[in-house]
Amino acid sequence: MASSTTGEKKILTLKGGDNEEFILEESLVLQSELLKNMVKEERVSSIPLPSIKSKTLVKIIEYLKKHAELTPSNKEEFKNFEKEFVNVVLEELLDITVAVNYLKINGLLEFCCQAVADRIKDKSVEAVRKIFRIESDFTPEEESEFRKETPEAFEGDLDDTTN
Amino acid sequence: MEMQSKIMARGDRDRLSHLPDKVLLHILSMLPEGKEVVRSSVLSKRWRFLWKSVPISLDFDLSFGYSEKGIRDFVGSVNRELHYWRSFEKIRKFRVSLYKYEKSYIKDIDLWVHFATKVANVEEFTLEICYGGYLYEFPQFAYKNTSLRNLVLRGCKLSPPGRVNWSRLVSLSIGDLELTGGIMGEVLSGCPNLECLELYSVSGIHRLEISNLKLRKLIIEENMDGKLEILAPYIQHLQLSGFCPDINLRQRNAASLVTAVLYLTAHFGNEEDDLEEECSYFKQLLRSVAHVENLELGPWCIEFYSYSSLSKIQHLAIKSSL
Repeated sequence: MASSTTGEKKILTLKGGDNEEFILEESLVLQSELLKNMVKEERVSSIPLPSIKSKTLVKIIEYLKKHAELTPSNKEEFKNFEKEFVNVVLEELLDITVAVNYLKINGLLEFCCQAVADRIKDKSVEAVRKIFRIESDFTPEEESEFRKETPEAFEGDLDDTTN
Repeated sequence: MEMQSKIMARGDRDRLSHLPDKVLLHILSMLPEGKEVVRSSVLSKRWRFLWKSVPISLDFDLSFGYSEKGIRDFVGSVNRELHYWRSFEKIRKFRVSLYKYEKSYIKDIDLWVHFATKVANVEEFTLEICYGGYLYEFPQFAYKNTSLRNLVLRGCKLSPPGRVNWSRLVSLSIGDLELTGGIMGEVLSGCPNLECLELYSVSGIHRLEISNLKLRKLIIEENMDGKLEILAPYIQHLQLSGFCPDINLRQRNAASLVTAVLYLTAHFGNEEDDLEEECSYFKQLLRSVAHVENLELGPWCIEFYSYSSLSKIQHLAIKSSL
């Protein structure tokens, strides 16, 4: 399949999980290692991304556009944009992180990991489980045994699950 | 499609644990405290051993003030912290800086060095100790280690018990210490892969003979302790910084030199004789590096540059703070 072009700029279509289509300049998606390889090697003009929700894809495209406009003079503005970008509900942040990892957008992945870490820090084990919906598959006996292996790590582990 | 329905079926439950190891390790490595990383071990089976592989850099600098109690608390906190980190398998860097050394801290510092060289097998270790009336002696067990690639030691006494074996060491920086006789030679002979040697305010060496084939970069800063003769035929990059009033270098002893960086500062006495002496010393130095391709001069050296004709130089960088 040949790439469609308008003028000099190549155009590419990304298809989100709910079949919504996003048309954008090919140069934008080159920030994604995965898409870059697809575009370079297979010369495709439409890429289906069934595992990524359209809502997530909208966010990621927004980032790619902002990042492409980054210059030394608007660095501060971009930093603020990044902060706002991850200021979303946890489910959305994880959707973005999963998608960004799949697409291999390294700079953004780094930033998403930091944002996830920020939501883990200063929390007890119980709180982390509750926030991220992690189900423990240990028996209570196993867990208490494991806690005894590194007791110092659990000192001052407050009950903050009600917050 | 199967993949997609699998993801749909999983719904919004525990997306975090389904991220690949690489991403989870990255997230864990961004937690500010070691114990938070360790605590992830009891979340679920998925998380049980993940924490051990988190790549870590440890950096302990004084954060308890400079009082005696502050320093004691600092030592105690480093010991406690290291206890958490014992089971980590990927600690690459470890830096600890102690403001004032007291004899009573020997065991604590020995423990830190043991942690770096025997427990965590770090690649980069920095131990900085400020003099407090006694000198800490770098422990004998640490002279044999095959993990270290970069080692920085400040304010430790070096006296290897026999053969030194730092076979992987690529860069060594030592400073604020006195080296006796052939100790430098013993250390260098135990570092066959050394590429960069930095001596910062090291006293006691009057003859520095470097025959390591791979050692290409030599940095000497603040050499206040009288004459220092340099014999380094394979060195390609030489940097002299700060106050180094009596460096003795001859072209034939630095024949491979490609780049010389002279950031020297002068000690201007009141006597005119002093100034003349300084000039002639600097001219001599310039003559000994006249065969280099790149010469970089600091502010003080610029004034004296025109005295010499340095025909082979292809690139001259003049750095001035003005």
